[in-house]
Amino acid sequence: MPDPARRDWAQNVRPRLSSLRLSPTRENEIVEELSQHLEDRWRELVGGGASEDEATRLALAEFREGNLLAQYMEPLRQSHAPAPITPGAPAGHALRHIWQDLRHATRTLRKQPAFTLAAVLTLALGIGANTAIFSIVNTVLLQPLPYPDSSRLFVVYEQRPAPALRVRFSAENFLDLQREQRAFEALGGYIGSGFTLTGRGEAEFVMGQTISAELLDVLDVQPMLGRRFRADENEGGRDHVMLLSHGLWQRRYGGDPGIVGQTITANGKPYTVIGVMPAAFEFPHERYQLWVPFAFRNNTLGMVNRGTHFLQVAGRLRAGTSPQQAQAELTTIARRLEAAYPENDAHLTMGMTSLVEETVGNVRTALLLVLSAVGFVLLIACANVTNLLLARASTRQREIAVRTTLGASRARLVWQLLTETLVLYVAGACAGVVLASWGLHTLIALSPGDIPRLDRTHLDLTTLAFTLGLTLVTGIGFGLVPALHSTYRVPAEQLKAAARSATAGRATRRARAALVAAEVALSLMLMVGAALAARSLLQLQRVDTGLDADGVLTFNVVPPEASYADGESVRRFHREVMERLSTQSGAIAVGATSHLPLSGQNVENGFTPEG
Amino acid sequence: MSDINARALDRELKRGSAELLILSLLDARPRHGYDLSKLIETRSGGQLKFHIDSLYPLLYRLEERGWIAGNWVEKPDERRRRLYKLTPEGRRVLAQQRKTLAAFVEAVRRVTGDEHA
Repeated sequence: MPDPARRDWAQNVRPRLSSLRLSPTRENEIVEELSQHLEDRWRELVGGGASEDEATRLALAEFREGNLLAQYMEPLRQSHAPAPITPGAPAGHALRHIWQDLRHATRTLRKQPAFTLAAVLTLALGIGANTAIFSIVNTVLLQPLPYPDSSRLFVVYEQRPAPALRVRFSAENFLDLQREQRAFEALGGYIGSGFTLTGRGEAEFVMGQTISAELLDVLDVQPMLGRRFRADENEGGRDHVMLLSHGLWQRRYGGDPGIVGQTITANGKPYTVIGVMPAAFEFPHERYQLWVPFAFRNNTLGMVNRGTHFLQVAGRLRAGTSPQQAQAELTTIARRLEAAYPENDAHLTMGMTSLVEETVGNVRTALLLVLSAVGFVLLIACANVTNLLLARASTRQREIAVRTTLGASRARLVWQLLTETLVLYVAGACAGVVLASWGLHTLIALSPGDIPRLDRTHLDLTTLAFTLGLTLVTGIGFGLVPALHSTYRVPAEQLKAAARSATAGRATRRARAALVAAEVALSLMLMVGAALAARSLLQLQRVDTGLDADGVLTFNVVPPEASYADGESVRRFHREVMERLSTQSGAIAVGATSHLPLSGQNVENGFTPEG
Repeated sequence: MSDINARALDRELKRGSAELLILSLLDARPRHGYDLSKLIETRSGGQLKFHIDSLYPLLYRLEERGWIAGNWVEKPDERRRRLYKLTPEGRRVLAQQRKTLAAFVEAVRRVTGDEHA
């Protein structure tokens, strides 16, 4: 009796089915059934006296030329089965593989809801924090200022030596600089002023800016209604014109399109509204709601001199002129002024800083520090999730071993495991974006208002692109560790290991220990950073400023110019206010100042001792 | 019976009339593929012979239509075999095909009988 086990009919059958898309199970069934048929035929032929070789040849003659088997099977439904999801199946279209891997990954993760939820929430916290802080960094630091060609905008200031002190311009120095310089297309001055609006509705105190007409040329901004200031309006008697902010126009004047040309009362004097600025115009800060021209000529308050330093100055650099060239010119002009006016401008130098640096420079370091901190938080979150994945991988050794034995390549398995990790990360990112949106609203609401442009922060496309990039980079980076780790053994070892125990092997334990060590190190850095920041804050609060602010009340008061037109009447007004206040019960001392100490604002007056 | 070569049987298979042979043989009892091919060859006196590459696609097509059902059957000391049996739907189709064929044969007989009367 011939041994049927010696005949391997499958090698004659299987290739004839290769052009069909049968499921692996179905293909194996057909191979088995047809092999059985050939075996029966072979036995019959041998039983009839044929030699084994002759019987084999005759049995195989059942297959005719042209692979009719595949031709007849092609119309059948089973010949068009979707390719199996199991990695290691015959290669097909790349997109189909990706889709299958995604479905498989989703299904696998759904089967372990506790693991999936823990990983997604961990990642959501890390990715969400990074998304929220990056959106702030993007809006505050990375986006250009809302003026055309804003990289050419600079603030210019006077400097005094020993100790190096940055001070504002005096009006005369500003006018000389404006006249002599060539490096800037335009140079404008501005100073914050308080205005009490009366006439329509309740009296209201608002902050405004008194500016030189050229400032709007510097910023290159047109009013949305009306016109800019003219140069002749920087003169006493002609300076009673006003530009309103979009917000003030909407809020106090109901967005009345006929506001231009109307007269409103500010500080007791009539001003003609000549225009309304666009909603995005917030110069130099959103708290300023109107702009009036500064009277450089016929100034009744006597502020146009070389000793009173109150003007901030901004300039638009001429195209083709470098900041170094402009700085050199500033130095030359300062030297000439120093020589010409030694009594006021001794040791005078001038400096310049880009407007964007001036606007956000003092928050840049803080924001980048916070971004680094949340970056560490994300790294810790990723390390945690990788640890979870490694723990889970040790329970999947058998599955991976079986797949490898069935023919899955290592690359295919790594890709499959990586897809699972990426699905986790993308889910974490989606939840993170929701968290970031909520967190951002909270941050903006809690902000004391000292971060410029913070209120304009929102999750825009740039931020979402950042989040996507961050998710993919961290997902692939951290996903490769468990994927490579789980697939590095050859199948035989893997099967043995899987059969022995489902607990983590030595290599897995080592990888997890390394991750835990990295997490501890990162956490320690964060904690030390946070502790140092808290300590600095406490020390700042304990710094002796030389002031005792307990029980001190402050308020702004602006005497109406209509009633107090010159310096003497203003001084008389303040003296009277202080005298009356000092007679109030509970008042120990009363004082007045143009700017509060440590408020960050300053006006410097030069004094020349007489005699 | 005239000689019907394998290609001609294949054409019949495509037209669907070869299905009747399979359904008829399964009407009596379940059979496996090799059994079916031997029966057809034997009962047709060697005139009809199914090749492996046309028999099994036909069986799988009938199975997909739900006229026959294949099941793996294992017996002690034997390799498992796939046995096919007629389904109720297959039985209904067979009855219809037999009726049609009988009517056709009767019509042919009448026509050809008249010619030779």
